[in-house]
Amino acid sequence: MMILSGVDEADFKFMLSATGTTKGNLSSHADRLEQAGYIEITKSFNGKIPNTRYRLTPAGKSALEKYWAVIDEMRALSGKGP
Amino acid sequence: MSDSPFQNGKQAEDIRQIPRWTRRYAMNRRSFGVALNIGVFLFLFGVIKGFSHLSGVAHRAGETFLSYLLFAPALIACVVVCVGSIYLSVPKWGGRKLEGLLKRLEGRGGSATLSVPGNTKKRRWDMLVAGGLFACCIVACVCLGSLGYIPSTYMQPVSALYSVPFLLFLAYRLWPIAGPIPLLWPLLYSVHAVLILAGAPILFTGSWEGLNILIPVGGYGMLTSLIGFAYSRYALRRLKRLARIEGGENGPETQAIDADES
Repeated sequence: MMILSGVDEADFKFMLSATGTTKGNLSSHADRLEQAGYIEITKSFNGKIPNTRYRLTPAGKSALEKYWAVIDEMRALSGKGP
Repeated sequence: MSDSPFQNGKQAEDIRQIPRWTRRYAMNRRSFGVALNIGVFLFLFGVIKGFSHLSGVAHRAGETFLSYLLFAPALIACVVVCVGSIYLSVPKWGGRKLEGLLKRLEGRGGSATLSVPGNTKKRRWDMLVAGGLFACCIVACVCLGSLGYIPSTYMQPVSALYSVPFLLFLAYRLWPIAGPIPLLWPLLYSVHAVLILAGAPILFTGSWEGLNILIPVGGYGMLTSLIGFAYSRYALRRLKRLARIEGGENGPETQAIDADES
C-alpha cells in the first residue's frame, strides 16, 4: 500500500520487483487488500499475456493516513515524536 | 516486546520514505531506453564519421576502389539514420514498435504510471510550437554556419542559446514524470558552452570538428540517461530494503489480512 501511494497505478511485475516478495505472497496480500477495499485490481490481457494492475482506492489512502496518524500519536506518547 | 509497531523512530521515518523512493524509481527507470536510443544513433554517426574519414584518406592516397568500399558503410549508416528517424517518429510505422521493444526490455521491472496534472495532457500544442521553433533554429544555425556567418568554434555556444531553453522546456513538461535528472543535460551543455567561450582546450579541430556538437548533444544526453538509470537502480535497492522493514511490521496490510483471517 505504501508503494502504491507513491504512484498512480502499478502492475504485478512492478510490485514484485519493488517489494522483492514472491508471486504467491503478493497475490494473496493484494487479494485481501482488495477485499478490504483498500486497493483496486484490474485484470486484462496484453495480447495473450495477463496484465494485473493495482491502484490505491480513496478508502486505502484514508486508511494509510489514519495508520500514520496513529503511529505519530503513539510515537509522541512514547517521546519519540515526529 | 515493544508497544510501538516500529523498533525505533528512524525505522518509522524510513518507512515513510517508501512512496518517495517508489516515485524516484518509477521516474528514472525508463532512462535506459533513452540511453539505448542515443547510443544507437551515436554509433551510427560514429560509423558515418569514421568510414567517411577513412574513405577520404584512401581517396587522397589514390586507392579509388578502397575509398568506395569504405564509403559504402557510411552511406548505409546515413540512409539508416534518415529512414530510421522518420520511421520511428511516426507512431503508426515504428513508434509503437519501439515503445513495445522498450517495454520488453524493461518488462522484468513491470510498469507504473505516475500522476500527470490534467492540464499537461491537454497542452500538446506548446510542445509542437517548441519543437518547431527548435527545428527552425537548428536549420538556421546550420545554414549560417555553412555560409560562414558563425565560426565553427562558436557553433556549440550558439546552439546552446536555443538548445538549453528547449531542453529546459522539455524537462519542465516532463517534470511530474521524469523528475529533476533530465535537467543535467542542459546544465552540462551550458557548462560546455561557457568553457568554450572561456577558451578552455576542449575543442576538436580538423576532421574531428563534428565532435564539437556531437559530444555535447549525444554524449551528455547519454550520460544524463545513464545517471538516471543508475539512480533508478539505487532507488530500487532502497525501496526493497524499506519494503523489507515494512513487510515485517504490523502495517495496514497486515491488519487487513488479520481481519480477513479472524
